[in-house]
Amino acid sequence: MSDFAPASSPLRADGSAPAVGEVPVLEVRHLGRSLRLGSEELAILQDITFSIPPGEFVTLMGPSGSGKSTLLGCITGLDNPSQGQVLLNGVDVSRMRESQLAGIRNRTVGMVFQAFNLIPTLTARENVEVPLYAGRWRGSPSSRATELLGLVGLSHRLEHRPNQLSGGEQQRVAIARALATEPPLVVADEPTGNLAAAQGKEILELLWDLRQRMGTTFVIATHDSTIAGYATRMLQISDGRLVGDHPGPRAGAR
Amino acid sequence: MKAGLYLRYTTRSLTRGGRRTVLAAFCVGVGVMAIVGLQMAASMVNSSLTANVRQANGGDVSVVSVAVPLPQSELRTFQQLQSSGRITRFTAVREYSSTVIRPGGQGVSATVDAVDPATFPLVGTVALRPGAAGTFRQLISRPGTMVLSSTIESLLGAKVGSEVRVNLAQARGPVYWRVGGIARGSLPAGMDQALVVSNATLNGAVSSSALVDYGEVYLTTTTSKDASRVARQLTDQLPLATVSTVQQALNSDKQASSQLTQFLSIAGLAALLIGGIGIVNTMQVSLARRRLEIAMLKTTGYRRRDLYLLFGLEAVMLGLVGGVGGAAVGIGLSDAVRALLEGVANVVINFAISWEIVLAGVGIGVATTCIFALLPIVRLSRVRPAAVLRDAPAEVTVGVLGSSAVLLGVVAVLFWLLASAILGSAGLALILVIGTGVALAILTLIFSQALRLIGHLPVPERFTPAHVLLVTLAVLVSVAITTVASLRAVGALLILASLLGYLVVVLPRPAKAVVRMALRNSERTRTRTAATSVALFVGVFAVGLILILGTDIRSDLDSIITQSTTYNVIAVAPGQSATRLLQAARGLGSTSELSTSAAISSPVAINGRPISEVVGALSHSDRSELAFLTSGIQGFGVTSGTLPDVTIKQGRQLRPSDASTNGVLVSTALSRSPFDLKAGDTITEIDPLAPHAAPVTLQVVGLYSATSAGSRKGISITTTVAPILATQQTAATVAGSNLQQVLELKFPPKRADAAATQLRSADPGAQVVSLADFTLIIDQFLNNAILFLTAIASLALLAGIVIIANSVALALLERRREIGILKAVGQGRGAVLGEVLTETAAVAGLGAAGGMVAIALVLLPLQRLVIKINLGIPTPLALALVVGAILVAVVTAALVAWGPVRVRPLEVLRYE
Repeated sequence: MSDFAPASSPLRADGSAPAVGEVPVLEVRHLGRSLRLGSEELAILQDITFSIPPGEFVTLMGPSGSGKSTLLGCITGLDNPSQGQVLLNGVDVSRMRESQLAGIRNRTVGMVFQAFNLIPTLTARENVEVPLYAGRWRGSPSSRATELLGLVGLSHRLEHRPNQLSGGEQQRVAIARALATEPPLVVADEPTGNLAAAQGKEILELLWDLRQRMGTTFVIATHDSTIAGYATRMLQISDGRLVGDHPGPRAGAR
Repeated sequence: MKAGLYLRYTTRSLTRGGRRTVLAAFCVGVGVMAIVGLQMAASMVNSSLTANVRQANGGDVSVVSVAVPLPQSELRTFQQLQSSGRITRFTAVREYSSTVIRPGGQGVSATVDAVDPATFPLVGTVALRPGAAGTFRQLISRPGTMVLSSTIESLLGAKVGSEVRVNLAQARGPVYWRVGGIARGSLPAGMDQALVVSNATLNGAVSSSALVDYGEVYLTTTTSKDASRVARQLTDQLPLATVSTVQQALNSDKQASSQLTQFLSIAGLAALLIGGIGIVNTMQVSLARRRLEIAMLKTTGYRRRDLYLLFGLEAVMLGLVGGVGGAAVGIGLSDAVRALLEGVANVVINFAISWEIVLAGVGIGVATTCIFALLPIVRLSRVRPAAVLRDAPAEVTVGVLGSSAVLLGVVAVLFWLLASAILGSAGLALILVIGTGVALAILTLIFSQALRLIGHLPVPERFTPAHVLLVTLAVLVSVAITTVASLRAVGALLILASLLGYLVVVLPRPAKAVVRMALRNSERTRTRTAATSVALFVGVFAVGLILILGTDIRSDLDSIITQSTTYNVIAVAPGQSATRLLQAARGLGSTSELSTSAAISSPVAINGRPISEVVGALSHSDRSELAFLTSGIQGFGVTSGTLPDVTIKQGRQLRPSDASTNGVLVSTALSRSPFDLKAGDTITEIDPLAPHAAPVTLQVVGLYSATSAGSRKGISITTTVAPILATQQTAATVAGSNLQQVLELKFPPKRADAAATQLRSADPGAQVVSLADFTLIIDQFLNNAILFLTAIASLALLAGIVIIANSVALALLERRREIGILKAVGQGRGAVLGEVLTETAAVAGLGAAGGMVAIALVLLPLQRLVIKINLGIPTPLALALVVGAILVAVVTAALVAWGPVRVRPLEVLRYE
């Protein structure tokens, strides 16, 4: 039995109520995800409900196998929930068709992975350009990619391929790619998992800095307690259930 | 902008693909090479046949009358046509039978064509091979000089300048003519198997009383309308001659060339299809290795159609690279096929590059790549990013299977459209695509199950009763199979395969481990591995069937000709010469002699209806057949008990009383529609060369089959020298003074050739032919035909090798991590290579042995229904083919696997 009762009217990380009419960037309602294993139904996520207003820096914490990645998959439209709803900017994405979800992923959610997942044949700049060519970016993809790589401190590495970059640099490129189309929400799955402690810290500083500068909402899945130190809000998940929703150490920070 | 990124991504992916890209391009290249090479060769044949069709026809109209020679008086018809202005010029060619003596003493039957150098050829010139000491006209104007057609040259092996002995009917003595030149296939079609001399040269050789008759007349007209009109008139006047206008010759050439084009296109398509399987395999693995990239692209918002475009572009570029390379090699291949076709068809085919075909080939390469890449592209574009990012296995649901089936259908339809464009026939393409699809599916299923069995074969540590029992049972079954004559080779292969069951037990433990691993691996990715076996199966089946059929037919014909007929030397000479020859033959040890007579005759009426009326309603080919079956009479000494050695199909055999009633036997072929001849009907014959000969009406008393009861089943070695069989008295009645004697002589087979040579020396005026001489012609034709067909079938084998290379490379790429683990736990690269090679040998052996079984299964009905001679797979040939196929496969696999098995374990375990 969970000791946590989800808030019926979500508050901001600093404890203030969202402005009237302000739509949460992400709203998850009674989300469930189960898999059929032979004759048995295995529940991976059960009745998860929370809401995240714009500008939050949220950590999603829990042990391995608790359902963090599955939850992120459902949030980003990569996985289909068995029950419940996921609303991104007020739009229910849980029952969308594949082609509609592709549009949502391009415009509304950016993703950062533990393994960076850059395309090895493309340069850093071209990797950042990739989402800009998939959607309807009005400006010059090349300029935008250059600008973003400058923002993540890689102006001098524009034409380098992933195998010519360090792990930390590759993750910076991945972050720049996630931000390319100016999505209101960026979801990161263990973004520092493959990095040394110092590089991991740099990445977290970068993400925090970007949140401050761009107002982007970040949801970061991790079981690294260091990351939790940056959170404005902390969600805790265990055995597929949301067991905690607390303000983070940086709650209220702008 | 977007195109720029797509292009960069695609080119870099292809470059990064390295060996995979090369393999895929190679698969495309092999298909395109086959299509371009074969189509261009067909186009060269087409151009060569149709470009100089007027020259090949000898003029605007050609009149060829082989069965019934035209007497000199018949030339008046042409002179009248010329004076009336309906034809502009004409030239007549005299035809004489001859035997040309090869340096070894063997005789080659040839026709001597005597022409008037002033008028022949009417159109164009006769081009000669390099080395001739003058033009055609200059050469044949020289007394005693001849020009050989390329066919006769290849049979004789005579060189320009050499003197050749020619035994000529009605000659005064032995004739020695010098070879002045060799025609480069530019003689009229009716003269393509002749040696050509001037009328003066011929007159100097034959006696002044020799008959003058003509086999061909060529003429020119002012317009093509005139040509048609004249051709119609001549057809009516000369009902048994073949009259052809340029248009008719062109149509017939076009028909022959379109059949060849279709055959070569089908062969090319087969190679394209096998190449396509390679493309599917390679793209499948290439894209599978990029699943993560695909997942990433999808997470950043790429839709399926974006991915289709992206990977479609990659397929286009791959097709372009393979297409250009394949087309370039195809040009070289076309020249090789052209040379082979020249040998088979005995025509000069000029090399010419058709850029349309080359460009179309590149287009076909691109289209084929896109069609076959469709399967992996669509499949991989469907991946769920969440599953890929979490390394979850791909789900196989009913929906996925259903959509895969639909996709396969789409690929089949697209390939059918491509095949229709290549073959120019949607119906034929549909039959081919469905037939090939069904056949491939069945074969893949069979080989897939066989691989499952191989994957489960035991590799025991020591001999166990169960293992010994199993292997012994397999050996016994194999031995039992060898008792069936036509399956002997298959049985022998199975015995060898079964004995490996014993061998594997006594192998050292490390080798045993390698074999066990190899056998288990052969069961992995079974459909792909089965495709490898199928590709090799097709190659071995095609090459093997052609070689076995060719060898069997040749040896059977040789043995029948030399041993089984009632005669092996035949001599034709006037009465007195024949008596001398008969005595000479007896002196040379002949074991049997049959003396008959032969008369030249041609039909003037059948059942009282004039022959022009009878042939009026007949087709071109029926007309030729009727002329052939009713021209010439062989007379037998029926009163002295000599009867024709034929099988009577209707009516009765000849009787002595037929001498007074002119009772005759005719071929049973005349009983079929539209001839409908039966016993009781009449044929009126005349000697066409005697100026005032009277027609003689012959009474058909029976219809015969030319096959004698004593000859081998099915092979029609004719036992007669003329189609109408009669008493000697009837033959003499028709022929008058032109009667010839025919001696059918049987010598011990080994002495037949020498006896024929001595008989030729004894009487140069006689036509003496040893049946063994025919084997020269048959061998030459079969050698060329077998070489050509084997070359075409080898394309399938080449495609099979490409699939093997492809399959091994892909398997090693997929198993890199596994190889790393094996090496990390102490396995050497020799052991890893051993596993790959053993697995390849098993898969290749299965395909090749399957090919042999299929050949045996095909030969069984074939020999019963079609050829009716004893066909079987020679065991050494079967072993050579299977072992050869395994060796080629193993060498290919070794070349491909050499690099990958040297992978450093840390590299794959840590960084991949």
